[in-house]
Amino acid sequence: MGLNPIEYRPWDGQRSKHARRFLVIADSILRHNLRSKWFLAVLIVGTFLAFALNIIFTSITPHESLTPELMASQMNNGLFYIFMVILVSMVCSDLLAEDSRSNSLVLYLSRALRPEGYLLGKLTGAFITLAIFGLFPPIILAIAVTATQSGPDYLSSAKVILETVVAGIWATFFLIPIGLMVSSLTSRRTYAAVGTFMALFVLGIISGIFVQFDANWQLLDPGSVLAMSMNVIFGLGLPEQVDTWLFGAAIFAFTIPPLILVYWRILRKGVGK
Amino acid sequence: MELGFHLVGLRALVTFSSKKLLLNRRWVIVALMAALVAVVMLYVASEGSGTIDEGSTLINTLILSFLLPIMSLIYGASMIRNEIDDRSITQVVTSPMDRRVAYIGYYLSLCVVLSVMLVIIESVGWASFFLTTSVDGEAVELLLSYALLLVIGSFVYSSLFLLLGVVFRQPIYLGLLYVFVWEALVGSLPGAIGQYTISYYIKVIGSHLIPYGNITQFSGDAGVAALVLAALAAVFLIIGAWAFREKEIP
Amino acid sequence: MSDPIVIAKDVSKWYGSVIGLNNFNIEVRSGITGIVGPNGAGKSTFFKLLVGTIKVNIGSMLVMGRSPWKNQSQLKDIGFCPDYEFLPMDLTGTDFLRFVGGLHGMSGQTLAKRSSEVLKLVGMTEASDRRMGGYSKGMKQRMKIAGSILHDPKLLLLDEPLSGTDPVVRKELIDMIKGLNREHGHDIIVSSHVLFEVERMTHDVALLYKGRAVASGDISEIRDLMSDHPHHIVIQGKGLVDLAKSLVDKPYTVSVQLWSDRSAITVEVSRPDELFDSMPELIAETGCQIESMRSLDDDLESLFKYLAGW
Repeated sequence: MGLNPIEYRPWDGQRSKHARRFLVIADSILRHNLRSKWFLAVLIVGTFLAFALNIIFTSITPHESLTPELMASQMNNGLFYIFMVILVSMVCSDLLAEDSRSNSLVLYLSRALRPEGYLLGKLTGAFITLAIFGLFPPIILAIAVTATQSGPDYLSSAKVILETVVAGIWATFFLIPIGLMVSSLTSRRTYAAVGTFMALFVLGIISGIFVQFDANWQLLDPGSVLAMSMNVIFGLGLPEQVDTWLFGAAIFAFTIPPLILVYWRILRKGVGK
Repeated sequence: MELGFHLVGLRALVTFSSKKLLLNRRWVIVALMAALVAVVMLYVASEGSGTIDEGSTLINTLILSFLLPIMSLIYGASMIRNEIDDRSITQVVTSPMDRRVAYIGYYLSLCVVLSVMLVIIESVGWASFFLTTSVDGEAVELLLSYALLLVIGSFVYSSLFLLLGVVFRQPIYLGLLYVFVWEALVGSLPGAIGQYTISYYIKVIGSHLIPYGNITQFSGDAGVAALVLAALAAVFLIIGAWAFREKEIP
Repeated sequence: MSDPIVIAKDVSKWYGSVIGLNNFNIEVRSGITGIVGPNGAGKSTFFKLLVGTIKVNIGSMLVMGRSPWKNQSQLKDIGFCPDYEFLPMDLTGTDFLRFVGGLHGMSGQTLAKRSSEVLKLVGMTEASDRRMGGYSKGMKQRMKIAGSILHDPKLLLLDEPLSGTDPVVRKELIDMIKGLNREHGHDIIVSSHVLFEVERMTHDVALLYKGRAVASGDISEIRDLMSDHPHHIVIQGKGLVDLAKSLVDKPYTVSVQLWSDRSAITVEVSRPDELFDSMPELIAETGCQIESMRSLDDDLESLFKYLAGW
């Protein structure tokens, strides 16, 4: 006996290509976070403390043009980093932990998505969500300062705005691999959140202790690496004592191996392990 | 109900909860933390001056200022909250034991377990540093003084984070904001505002017990600090016990 | 008649915008009482109110004469077995009972002796030293019941104790529950959405639907409420066509349906007792041969559908 067609209508739509399905995941992550009171509260407080006051103050203070030093100092301020860490912990903590807890990873990967698409969707969703803090306010700040500058050199200000876009993208992306990695290691999102926090702060504390022996120990601290990359993006260069190759290695270490680990965990969880 | 009844119940709850905390897979984190502290202190002992000041500063920075609040948060905020979420709290709230007494049972087991874990981590770190440099009476006094501070800190932080766990559905985020934004940032600001943290009062007591390292920069009356900490712990405990009794557990 | 052990008067309970119980009234007397209703009817909400883990928003709830909210001491007389999983998986059955006993103020030899008795009663003596994480569903249900009777309570609240169990285990649990009342004197309130299982345990039921008690009392009394509701009766035999024709003219007949093979008829009647009373006369008149008669509505399910207005 075949399927009784009463009240059943087979779907005759077009399946979206695999390559575009990651956007569904990204979209759901953004929507989920925008519905979270805690996320919105931290976002608003962080944006206010780290940027809003600066936007107002810097715009009204007399200035010739938008300078790389100004934007670098804005992007390197402690408040920006702390709130970035908090937001990364909140957003990334349930990206993989929740799917692991509910075993829905197996469902996702059994048919609808490939592991690469799943990971890309999670990365994209986290990036878009965190860009609300890490990318758009710096751009708004840069534009506001440019719009209120007294000098005529809008071209150099425009260059700094472009550098700000790159810096914002990098600042938004940089901590996501670590957050995803920690989320992939546990099925409880609160532990993932605390774990991300702890990982970032422990590295910072240890770096602070070791730096008295060698300046390159700063590269153990993701906050310092991020600050140095801001300086590089804005053309201000690295501190003299810091080895360029080690700096590159640190950037690599904070991004690629965590993503590889996440991918491996997805593959393992996808087959039910 | 009579005291004897509640004491039996309290003992059962403290024993069960302590075992649950200790035998949990989170001991892996404790082991990792101990190993990390040992490695860091060993490295500093070998590269640095190896003085007792340095050792004291390390214990203060790594354990007292960081691990103490963080581990209290991880264990305290999730203790009752996890049991409510996974419903294993059912046997407690459907027993004739007064919920306020049950709350104290949870608190006691949390304090004991945290104190034990932190003192173990501190001992491992202390041993890595001082066994490679030199062990004398002062170093041993340092170990014992910091152990006392860790125990005091465990009691106070536990009272706070256990309360957060009962009152809020997502206590970890609030706890993280307290530890990393309030205590770390606000606590490091100059002036009176830096005094509005638990960490400050612990360090004031510490500065009277320990004449070495960066803990000595905290000045104040140790007696007042002890009173403030005791009062804070008592207030958080009373509020937490009341909140637990009033809480609907669907 | 004994005093009611549970009295709920105009009780309403809601969770945000979701209503759990709505103007709920019930009196439960001693013995075994079945609480029957579909998922979401309010059975679990009722049980949680009884043990005082939640409080009423409106109305009053009395258990053995006292309000259960913030009245922990009353729980020494109440044993609760909820429908959800809550057993600590890392503990053995013995350790679990030791913990539960401690929470009830029991210790030492008294506790050890009572634990043995209870384990024997629920049939878990042999498995008691194994971790509960390795128990089957039926074993877990038994341990939950063991935990709820360890302190020998007067009143046992069993919320869906049979859910998820296989037929063999279900029968054993039903027999155990009946034994707990009959031989050990516990008053029991047991809930289920599987109606025939409740009927096997008790004739005293309360039917819940959408947060309200739609009926309560003896099953047969409730059934009498249906006297105006059409019943469907199947009559099997030979020569039923003439019987069917006769029945059509009767005032209590709503409809008659002859089966395609003519081996039976289904009669819808408004007053089944009148049909049964008139059967000998009809058989004599028509000369039909009746092999069997059965009512399709003579069970709790039809009763419930009628009362709940399905």
